[in-house]
Amino acid sequence: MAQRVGYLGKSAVRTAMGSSVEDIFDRASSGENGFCATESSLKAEKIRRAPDFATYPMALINDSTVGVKASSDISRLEQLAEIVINEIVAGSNINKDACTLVFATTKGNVGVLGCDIPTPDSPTFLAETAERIAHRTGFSTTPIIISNACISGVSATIVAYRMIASGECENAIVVGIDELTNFIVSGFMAFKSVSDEVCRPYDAQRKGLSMGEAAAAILLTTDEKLSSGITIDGGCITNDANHISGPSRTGEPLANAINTAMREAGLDARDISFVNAHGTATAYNDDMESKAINIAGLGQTPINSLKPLFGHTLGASGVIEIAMAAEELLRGEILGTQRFETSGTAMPLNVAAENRTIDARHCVKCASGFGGCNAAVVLSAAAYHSVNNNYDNTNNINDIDEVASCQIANGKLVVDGEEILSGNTDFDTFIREIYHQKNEPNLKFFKMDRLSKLGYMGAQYLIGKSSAHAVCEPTDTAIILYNHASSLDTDVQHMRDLAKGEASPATFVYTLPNIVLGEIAISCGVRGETTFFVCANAREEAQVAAYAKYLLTSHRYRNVLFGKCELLGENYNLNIHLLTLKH
Amino acid sequence: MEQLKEQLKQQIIDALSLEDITPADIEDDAPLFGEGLGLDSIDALEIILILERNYGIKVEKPADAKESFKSINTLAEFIAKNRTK
Repeated sequence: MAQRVGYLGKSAVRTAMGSSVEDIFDRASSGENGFCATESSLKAEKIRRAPDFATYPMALINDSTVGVKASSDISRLEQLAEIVINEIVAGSNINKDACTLVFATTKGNVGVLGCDIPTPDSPTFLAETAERIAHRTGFSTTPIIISNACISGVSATIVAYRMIASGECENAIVVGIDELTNFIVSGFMAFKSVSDEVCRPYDAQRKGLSMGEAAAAILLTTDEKLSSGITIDGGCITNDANHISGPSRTGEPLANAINTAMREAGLDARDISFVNAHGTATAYNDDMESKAINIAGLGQTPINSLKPLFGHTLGASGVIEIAMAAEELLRGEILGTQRFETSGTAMPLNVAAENRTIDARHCVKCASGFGGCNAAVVLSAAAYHSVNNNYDNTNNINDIDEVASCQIANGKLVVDGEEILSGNTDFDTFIREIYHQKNEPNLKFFKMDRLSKLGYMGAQYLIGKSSAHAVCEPTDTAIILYNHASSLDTDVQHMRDLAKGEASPATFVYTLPNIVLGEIAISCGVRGETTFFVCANAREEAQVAAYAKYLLTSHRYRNVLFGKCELLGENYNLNIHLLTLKH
Repeated sequence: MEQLKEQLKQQIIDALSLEDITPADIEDDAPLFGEGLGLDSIDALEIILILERNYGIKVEKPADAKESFKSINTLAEFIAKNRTK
């Protein structure tokens, strides 16, 4: 079946600088940004949420302006998500029974996490958070939850687009949501990546990122009548397989994502009107992007970053920035990159400092994040949408072979159905026994968090360098894992560090569940897609399985490492499978 | 100075979870990053925390301290010169 057209419908956003893309565009055009709010209520809020760091610029959503009620039983994060979803529903008259909610969040309700392993009724579980939001907004469809660090929003849009294009669903609302809490701010401060002035992407004087928060939702639909005049024409996710926090030295993996997305859209670099990049304003990110964008042939193409407007909004950033990029395409004008003055990147870029009118046809939106992940999507003005059949879904799931499997649970290690090791059921002891059994010394193993140790060890038996199915073509393999507890096990460790008065960067980096994917990618040399899902039940797991198989049947990858990687306290359960397309 | 170096090695081993490594395995003039111990940018941030916590030295920009982070020798010299506790 040929791919269907994925139209971008309405968007709904709540940010520090406006509650609609039109509003944000107009205010940004007149030089405003979300950091200049001076109301005392917001200052007090900053001090309350991140007392040690309140002198740093942060772009906070003004609760009273957007209608978040402190008195409500519903968490602030969930209220914000409901506000943007309801706005889309009200403006689109969609059939909720034929609409999937795809959530992108790094940390959800982590603001209420304490120093103990959360009990099952804790609001900090991401999948239940999504289910509550879906229920209260009247959706009975099974939600999808993606937690893929700072590319979560772009990842979720790509997953939703593929579900639409492949016929899996008719409509999807992608919801990006993250709020600023001491949990997150303290971690980025420990990484010394936060600027003490509003961020200056691509500038020679840039000093790091500025943090922000946002709730954003976009409708993706097969229904042309609901279209805003923009289509999504391609998308790709890649992994650096280099380092879990530092970006690639070469920029090649991001360039690969951009090139593949353009190819899927039937375009090349000359067709691209502008690039809305990640542009966090850290030294390393912006340098890496400058290399990637040049490799992709877009060094002369106008590029902007919106981070100086509403900050780095983490899991929401991809969604809000795609909504803004669509607005820029529709207006035929791109926003300037505020505070950019002097170019200061490793490779030259055509950074738009002021608003520019463009011949608005196609745009590349890209992002990169911890875990070594990169993502790119191509948006088109609908008049320039070209039909492509690159990813005909010509195979069916009967063409998929499971060639290997690995289970680690209850003190047993089972590979391809054979018990390799039976030992102590205590996780820390047992995973160490497995490490010694495998006998492939790697000092990095001891630095990993427990979730990563679990996924890493299992993967060594399936696609590790000494395994029967070692990865030979790095870009031909994807890793799709899911669990229920996300990174809560390490989140608690970060809270304990904070209680002792000091955030540890080595702990904080693991408070993202997709870092395990980065560790596997590094150790096994995987440069294809790495996406982490969070699931609360079998229905949600089945949806992730269908997605993993679609990556094979659509010929995007030859191999997919797929399965569950669960760890919370003494509850651990790894069940992963290597799936390949039959020759 | 020798005592400081030994203490520093143990602090690094503990903070960076360098299991299976003892202070005797770390040579005073061997590179800490890249080759040798193979430390990375996250480890550098953890070492900055050791400096703050144990020696009262604030390092605002990791890049500024690059030279001092080369080996145990350079790190110990840096501490001896700048320590406030």
